Amino acid sequence: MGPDFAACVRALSATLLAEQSVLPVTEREKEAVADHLLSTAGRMPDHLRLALRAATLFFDALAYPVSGRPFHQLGLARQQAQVRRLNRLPIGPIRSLTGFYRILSVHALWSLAESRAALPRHG
Amino acid sequence: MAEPVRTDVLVIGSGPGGAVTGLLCAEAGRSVLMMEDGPDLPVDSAPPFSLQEIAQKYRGGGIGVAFGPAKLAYVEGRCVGGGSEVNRGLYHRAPASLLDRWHRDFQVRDLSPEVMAAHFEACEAIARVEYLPGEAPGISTRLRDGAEALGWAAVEARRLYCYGGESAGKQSMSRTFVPRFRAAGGELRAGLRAVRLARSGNGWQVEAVQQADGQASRPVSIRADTVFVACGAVQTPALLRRSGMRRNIGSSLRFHPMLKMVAEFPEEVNKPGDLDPVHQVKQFEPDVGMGCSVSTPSTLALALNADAEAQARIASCWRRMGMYYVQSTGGQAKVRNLPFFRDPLVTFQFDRADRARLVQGLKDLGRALFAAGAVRVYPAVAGCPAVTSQRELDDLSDAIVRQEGSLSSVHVFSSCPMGEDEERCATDSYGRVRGAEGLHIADASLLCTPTSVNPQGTVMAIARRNVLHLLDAGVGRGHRAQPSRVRELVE
Repeated sequence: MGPDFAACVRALSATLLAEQSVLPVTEREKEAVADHLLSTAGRMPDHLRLALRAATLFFDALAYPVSGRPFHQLGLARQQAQVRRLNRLPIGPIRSLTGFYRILSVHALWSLAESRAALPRHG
Repeated sequence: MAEPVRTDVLVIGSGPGGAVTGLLCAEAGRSVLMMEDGPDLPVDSAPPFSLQEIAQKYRGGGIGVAFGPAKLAYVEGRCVGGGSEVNRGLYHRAPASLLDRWHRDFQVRDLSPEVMAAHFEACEAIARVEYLPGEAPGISTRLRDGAEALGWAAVEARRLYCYGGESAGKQSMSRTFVPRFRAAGGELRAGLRAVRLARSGNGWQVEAVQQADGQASRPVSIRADTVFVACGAVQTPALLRRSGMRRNIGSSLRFHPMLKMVAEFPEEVNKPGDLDPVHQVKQFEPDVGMGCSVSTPSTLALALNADAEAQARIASCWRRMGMYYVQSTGGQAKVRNLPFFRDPLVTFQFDRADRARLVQGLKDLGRALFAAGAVRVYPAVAGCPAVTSQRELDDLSDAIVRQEGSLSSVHVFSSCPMGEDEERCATDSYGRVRGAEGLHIADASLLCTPTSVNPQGTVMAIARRNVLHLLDAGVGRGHRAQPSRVRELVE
């Protein structure tokens, strides 16, 4: 199977969540965060949506030369290594892509934690 | 396609400008259709700043980006009530110096503080504006205390909010002007997106698309004698340019570019359920403003998303943390449509001097927070560590100036400025689009420059001033027109 947008977003989201050790993450929350990323990607302005899709598929395919498989088919440890490797390269758009997904993942995870704790909101 | 919908007045957009315009036209006896791209939801349909609210009420899922050498993230509301549903409702009248500048530099008529006072008062009588009852939350008073310790001017801002009584809650458009609009006979259609405008006979024909959940969208045609475009400072120029109108349209978009900083105090300043913070530093306005942001764990984590240590601190002591912003008036942007795409592209120029001014503001903000007792501050700028002294913060200046990301804005305006200076203004002094009889702009696009203060009050007051002027001149007078009622409203 070749590069796959939704599968890559889910895999990258799981990798980024595994990077952080501050909040515990249940499987259900992992799914909810990935759903949020895909839903946001579906709502964003259409020219950004197209660019994000292309960049994500490219990111998925970047794992082929090293692993012979797309990113989403690697195990978690190899996915984390791949993200670290790519983020070390002087390629701004790659860092922007992982940074974009990190922002959304972190915000979603903390929002879920807030809901779980039933914190009253500011008014 | 079905028969065109017919109306005297069409208002495209239901945010602060559109809602005020629609209400006054309906009260003046015009048949008014107000159309809104987004859904019609109560203001409390989702918790403020939650993922659900972003999904329901923000345009583009909350993702708006202005591209350029420096990227800037911005947000727009997309629901009945527009930005008033998703902002914090901090409220200021336009400063007299700003109105004077618009009169002088853009030749806007009838814009004295005395003229405008009546419009501010009238809008505040419908969407009520109040000070917090009692002492403000700790994150808010800390900023005030720090400013006072340095001898800087600071104020408590009012909010479009009722803190008690029958109307308790946020005074967004969906709770104030829109219900009155409906009660006055106005019709509101949500999920209806304007695609293009064209002159038709003595009026306008608008091609639109009706969207409904789970159903195929369908085209709708609307004929109106008079059209007010109030889709916001990005969507309004996009619609007009798509419709062939380009002169001074979409080429002068402005923001309040903003950087954020989180401060950690030795004691609790941020309690669950606190009211929104309201203090602002005025010392450096109009060039630079400072204030407090909503500081829930998720918004703190969002600001410091790339800093693992900071996130650990948020988990262990977020009640001792507050988030603050510094904003400037620098930079300029353009709105352009792209072939084959629905959404417009925004490009942004923000030069090194603009950035240096904002970074100086961030250092000054840090100074106020340390003066207020902060033990650590975290610039919300990728790659910048937390610091525990002003000297360390000063040492970060070059790193922050070099870092091109991290800019954001919640205020968007000035894309179609009003005034009699035809070289730079898209409309006349009252929002009439030049060369397009019967076509008006009624939103933040008209504001000639950034306001420095929260702009919603100015948008509402300018909309009221403009629509009363136009109604008095007989604009949109159809079969239900009641000139005597217009006179009553004007007076």
